Amino acid sequence: MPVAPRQVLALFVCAAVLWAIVNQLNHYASPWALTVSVAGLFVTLPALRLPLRTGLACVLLTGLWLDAASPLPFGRHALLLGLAFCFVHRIRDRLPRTETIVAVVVALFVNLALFVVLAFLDLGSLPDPAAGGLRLLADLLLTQLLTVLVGPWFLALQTASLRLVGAPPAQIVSRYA
Amino acid sequence: MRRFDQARPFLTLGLVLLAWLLVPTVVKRFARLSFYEFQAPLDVAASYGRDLQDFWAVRTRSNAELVAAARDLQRLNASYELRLQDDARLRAEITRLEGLLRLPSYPEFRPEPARVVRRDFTVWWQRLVVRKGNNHNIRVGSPVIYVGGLVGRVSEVHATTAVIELISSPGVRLAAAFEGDDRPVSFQGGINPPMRPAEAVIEFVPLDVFATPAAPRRLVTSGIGGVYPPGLHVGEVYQLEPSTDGLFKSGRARLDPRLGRITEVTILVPLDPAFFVPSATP
Repeated sequence: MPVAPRQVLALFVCAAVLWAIVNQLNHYASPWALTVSVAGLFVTLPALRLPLRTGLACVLLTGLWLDAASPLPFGRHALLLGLAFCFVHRIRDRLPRTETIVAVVVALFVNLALFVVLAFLDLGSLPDPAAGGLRLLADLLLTQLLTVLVGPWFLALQTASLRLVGAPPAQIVSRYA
Repeated sequence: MRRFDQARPFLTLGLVLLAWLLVPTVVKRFARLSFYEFQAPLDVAASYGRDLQDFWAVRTRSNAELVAAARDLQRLNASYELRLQDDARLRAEITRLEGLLRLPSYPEFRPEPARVVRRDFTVWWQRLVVRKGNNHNIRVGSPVIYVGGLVGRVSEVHATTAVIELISSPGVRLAAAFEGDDRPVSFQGGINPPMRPAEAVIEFVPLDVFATPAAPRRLVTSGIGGVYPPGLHVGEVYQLEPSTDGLFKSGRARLDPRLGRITEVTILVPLDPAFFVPSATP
């Protein structure tokens, strides 16, 4: 199999694993009316390390996977993650993108952007937007905390998976070295 | 050239989006269902894992504790037996009165207990995935209840799982009534603040109805619309204020906190095929 599909499949499986873990976490957090979402982590490594087409395919596939389990129109997560991917991919040459901490910070910004976009699009449709905003803020704080905690592990898992399938990301000559 | 390079990711995404818009709906629907059916075993396996965990947790209890629990269950079963006999007598009485007064009969349901596989309570939607689906003849639109009253209705049915939309979901509206009062009021879920039980908005309440945090009023299903059977507990109204038009009151209802910890539900599958709602799976 060529390198690109192997990279897509490896990262997709990693995303599915994290998605399943986060679902279980949300299941247990439901009595406290709190939810976490780590969508930023699904975008980070494909956008920072992979070529455009491979990374975009991986992110879109992950987005569709998230869409299948949600009541949203099929393709909405895929579009939002795709847009986030494009923004990160565009600026990636200006970042020391092989550094784990940079990837985690990028994931934090992507999470924040997704929350803001969703709030902008849908908050008005809730019966009490103030309570909805408070809930979103609590969810965002918890999401960012979880991203900081599991981000390094997840990025290491993705890198190890790519090595395992014999398709590690291309080496980059860093100007920050 | 450099500007084109910078715009290349967005152009590629635009092309993908264009191609996506041209894909026929049936293909998208098939893709969604396929993805869902691939995911379902993950959730179901986790649910069986939790059951196994509970089983081993119970195995650590002493025999004395288990004997005491069995004795309590025996007492409970005896009281349920009495209730069942009473229930049969009341059903016979209802049937006799319906025949005598030529009243339309209430819809009949088949109760189908189901374990909760996953609770998905975001600010945008509140859903449960349960471990029964097409394999148990569950139908879209069936009302769902639990020990605390009404849970919601079945919104999607898959091969071995079904998705239930809770009454705390922002998209759910139903006709409710205050206990002991048959005038219908509008109920809409969707207020889900963090660390607090879900709440709902109540509208079109008659002006002579009062509720305060000290004296809340019980809200039950009205039976109007034919989806939910009448008399199911929905929540407690703790606040009512005159609405802006002055014709009605509007307020807030507090939902049962057990809704957030729900582990088992009963799906009421209508026996009459006329009650079945066409599949709402997008």
